[in-house]
Amino acid sequence: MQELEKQQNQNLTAAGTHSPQIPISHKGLSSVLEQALQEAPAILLQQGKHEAALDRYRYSLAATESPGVNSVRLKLLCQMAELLLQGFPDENYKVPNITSRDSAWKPKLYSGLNQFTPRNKYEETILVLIVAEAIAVRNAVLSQSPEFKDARHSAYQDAAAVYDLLALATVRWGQVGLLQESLERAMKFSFKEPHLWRQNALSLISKGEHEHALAVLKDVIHLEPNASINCLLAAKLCFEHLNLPPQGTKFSELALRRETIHSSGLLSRCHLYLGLGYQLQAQTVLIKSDKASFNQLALENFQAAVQLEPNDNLSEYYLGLQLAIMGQIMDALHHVQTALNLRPESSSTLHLLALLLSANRQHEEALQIVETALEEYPDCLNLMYVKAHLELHEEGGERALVTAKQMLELWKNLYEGQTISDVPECDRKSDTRSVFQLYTSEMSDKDTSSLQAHSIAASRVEHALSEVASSMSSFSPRPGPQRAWMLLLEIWLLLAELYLALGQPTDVLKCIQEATQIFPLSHHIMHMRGLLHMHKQEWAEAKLCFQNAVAINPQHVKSLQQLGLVYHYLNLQGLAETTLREAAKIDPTNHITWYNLGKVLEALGEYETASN
Amino acid sequence: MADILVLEWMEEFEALTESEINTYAIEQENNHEVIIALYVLLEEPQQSKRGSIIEKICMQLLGFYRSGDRHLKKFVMQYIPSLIWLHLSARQIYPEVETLLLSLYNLEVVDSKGQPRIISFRVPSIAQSSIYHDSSNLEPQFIAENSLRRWEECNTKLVNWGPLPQVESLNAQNRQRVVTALLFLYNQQIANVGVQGIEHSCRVISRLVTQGFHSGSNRTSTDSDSINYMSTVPRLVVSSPLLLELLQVVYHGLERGASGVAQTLHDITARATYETYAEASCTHHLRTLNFFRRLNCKLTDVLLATHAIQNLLHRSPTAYLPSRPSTKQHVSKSMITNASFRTKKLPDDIPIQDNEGESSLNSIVEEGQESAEKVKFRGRSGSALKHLPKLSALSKKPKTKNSPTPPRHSLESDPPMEMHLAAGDQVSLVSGNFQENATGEGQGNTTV
Repeated sequence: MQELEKQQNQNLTAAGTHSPQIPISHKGLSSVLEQALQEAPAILLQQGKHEAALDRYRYSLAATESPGVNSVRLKLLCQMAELLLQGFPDENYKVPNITSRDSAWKPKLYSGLNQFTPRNKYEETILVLIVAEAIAVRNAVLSQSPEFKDARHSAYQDAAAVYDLLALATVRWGQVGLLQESLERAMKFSFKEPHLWRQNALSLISKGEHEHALAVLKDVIHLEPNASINCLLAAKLCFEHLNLPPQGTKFSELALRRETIHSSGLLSRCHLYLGLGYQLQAQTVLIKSDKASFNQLALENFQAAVQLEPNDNLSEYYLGLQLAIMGQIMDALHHVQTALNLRPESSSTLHLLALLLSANRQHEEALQIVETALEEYPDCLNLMYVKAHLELHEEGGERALVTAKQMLELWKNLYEGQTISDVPECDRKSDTRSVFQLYTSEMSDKDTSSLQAHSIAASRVEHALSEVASSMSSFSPRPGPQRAWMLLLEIWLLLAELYLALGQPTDVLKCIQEATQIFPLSHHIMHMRGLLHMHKQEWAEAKLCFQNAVAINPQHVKSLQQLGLVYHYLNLQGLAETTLREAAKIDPTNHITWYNLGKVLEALGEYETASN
Repeated sequence: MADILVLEWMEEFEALTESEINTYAIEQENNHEVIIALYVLLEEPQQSKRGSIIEKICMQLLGFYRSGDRHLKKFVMQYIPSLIWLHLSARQIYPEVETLLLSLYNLEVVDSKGQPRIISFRVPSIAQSSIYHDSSNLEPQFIAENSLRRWEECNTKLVNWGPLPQVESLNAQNRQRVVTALLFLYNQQIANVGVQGIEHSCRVISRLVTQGFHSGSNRTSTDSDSINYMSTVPRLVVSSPLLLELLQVVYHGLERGASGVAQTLHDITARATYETYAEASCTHHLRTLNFFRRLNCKLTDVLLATHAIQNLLHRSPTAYLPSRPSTKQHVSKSMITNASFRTKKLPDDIPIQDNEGESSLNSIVEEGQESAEKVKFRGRSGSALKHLPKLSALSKKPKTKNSPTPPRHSLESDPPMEMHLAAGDQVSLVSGNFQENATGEGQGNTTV
């Protein structure tokens, strides 16, 4: 073996000299030389000399390329990357140190002033792979005529190998952007090749370019007529990012059809998705009969999902949620508890359970649940939010204030760093943060159906308005990610609400001012202002505030309710009635609306309608 | 059986004096019986009659780790996947595993001086010349805005792992993170773990990701006898970064030719496809609660990586075929490639029959070399044979399109002879290629 190696090494030096010096007449390496180049490291590897093999690769690759050796280089690069990726131990890695030796028989090496020299194996892996990619792309066959089918196929395979290795090298480090750029180039020569298309779509999703990803996914769905996975991915994109529930529902239906023909174990997921699609649509439509039918469809699909896979906590959870939306609290409680048995640590399930318990007037149990949940998720602002409300209800405002202040502290710890540095924080860190959602104090203790989504349009309007405001006045929007600031806004508003409940209007005003500094034109702030004015019985100002809030977000039920009430106090009973009817149309299950409406109608003297 | 062996081994360690520890540590790396016995015990702790055996093992491993000896540390690190499995699946029964994992984590995230450990590297850019290429030779599409920007940021913007915070206790919020970090560290030194160790780890990983799932007709479980109890067991939470690290273990196992790894890969893929929607719908629901789209779509990364590995697997016969003669490329010069956009004239008069003839000749040659390569690469571990049939069952496409697959079993049974064969083929190849080169040069002349 040793002899063979020596012989080949001799060959190798010969090969090295040939390639750079006589590039034109010598179009390709003869196969003996090529074989020698490739065998030398392979033999070293076989003998377990990984470091020596690595050095051999490096030396071969550092020789200046010539057109004839491209494909050999590609293979060598791939093999070297594989060697590095296969868990090459860190302590054995040495920084490449290639010095050119002065001899006519040695090949010319790459040299330059500002060369990139890798310092550790990760750098070297990625470097090797991007160089390989450049070669692979150059070799790729673009013509589609059948005579080149074999050549095209083999070139494609070479390229795909490079991309796969690149995926392995980058994904672990969250460098999907790099991969995606490369895949974009690959699209040119991978016509009708589902693998690379799918990889491209996935990398686009990971990178956060959702619309582009959806377009690519549509193609993948055509390329792979049997796979339901791609449809579900597309549905997920529609639901999560693009706000297109009807389209997402269509994708889910397609997935379901495919799944029934070619089963791949995702049938219950298809039902779950379909259910989600209907649930979302039910939230957006205004006509009552449509809403009911969507809700029914969602319920049926969730039930189907639960039946198909009784072990799945998510199906149970969504079934519980859907039942809660439809107002069947006891059934919902039952299903949420099953979901919790299946996965005891899911924070959103715990959350929902607490809400349901409070809806069922079991405030103490709810509080206990929240407290135990907080032991497991100490950073979950969502749960703290619920806790503050429950405490306000159970133990008085002081305790709730303490919780709210804890939230402020927590916010400072978690997000202040983000807001100072403009750099979007790295993905790796971001999963340390709990997913905190805002929903305003609508989450009252009475009705879980108030878990309504705020219409996204409203938040966009607000955003636009804030931008306009900032361009007109001296207000400068704070740097950093929007989300962190919105969280802070929510916390301040919570504090304001608590102070209002405690009857300390000056503190409320301060909180509102803090909130205004963050986001001057939020309808939540307007609403809170209105509440403050109502507290002080300044009806005219209150009316203005609520009108503003409704102008920004016409779907904001709570502002409508209060506006109706203000009209009522201002003795504008007709206006009050229409406003409240509007509110009732948006959310027919909200009891406060009906109560207020009842009051107004009573004042109007229509006792019969009021008693209904 | 295993527990008696392990207990004896522990007593041996207790009897040691300070001075003997060093030699003892080196010995342990080769103490295969005990290593395997420990794997077995950690995998199936119920089978041991002694109730406290896991607790003792944990104490022992912690003692090893604390001793500060490099070899003993490595010895402990190789059990991380098994310990993680034990922790995630039976947290209430074995609280000592939690303690062990926690202390391992806290000791590992700092270096020897007590500073937080950070692994960082630069992202190289294709636009910058390196020791392996010259950027001035590149096509313009590579010198795009992105690669230039990456060059600029190259030295300032680093990719980091860490620093990770110290953790006081494991709870639902940080559990996945801690476990992922430990597995990352395991992957850092996975090359030191024996093949059998990796096989055990992969088996454990399979159980980790499939527990609680129905084994339908399409999903074949690793151990068919445990299906019944699986349906009642809750599923284990697996975060996407954790899946990625698990995948890394599997990839390494595949390269080393460990047996049964293909099944593990299959399991992880199934879980990832399944989970993507879980995660998706989970976060999705949260969105319906609010108007923020806080999305963690890392799971698509997992899918990305699994597809990559699967694809690599499908093509493995060609991927490991380094010595395919490159001359094939020259015959078909009239093909449009990206490279050919530079050359103005395209020679149209190349007889394509030659191409056909050559490729068939090539494929014959490939056959010999491929099998030779197989012997070299896979032959490193004797167990390669075992997982080959599974692979072919897994792959959806035919493995090789143009080169006929040789009957591997017969070939691999007799490696030395195969080597000779390959050598013989090379000779014939040489003669074939002289012709080839001649035509290639001829074409060169016509084009110039």
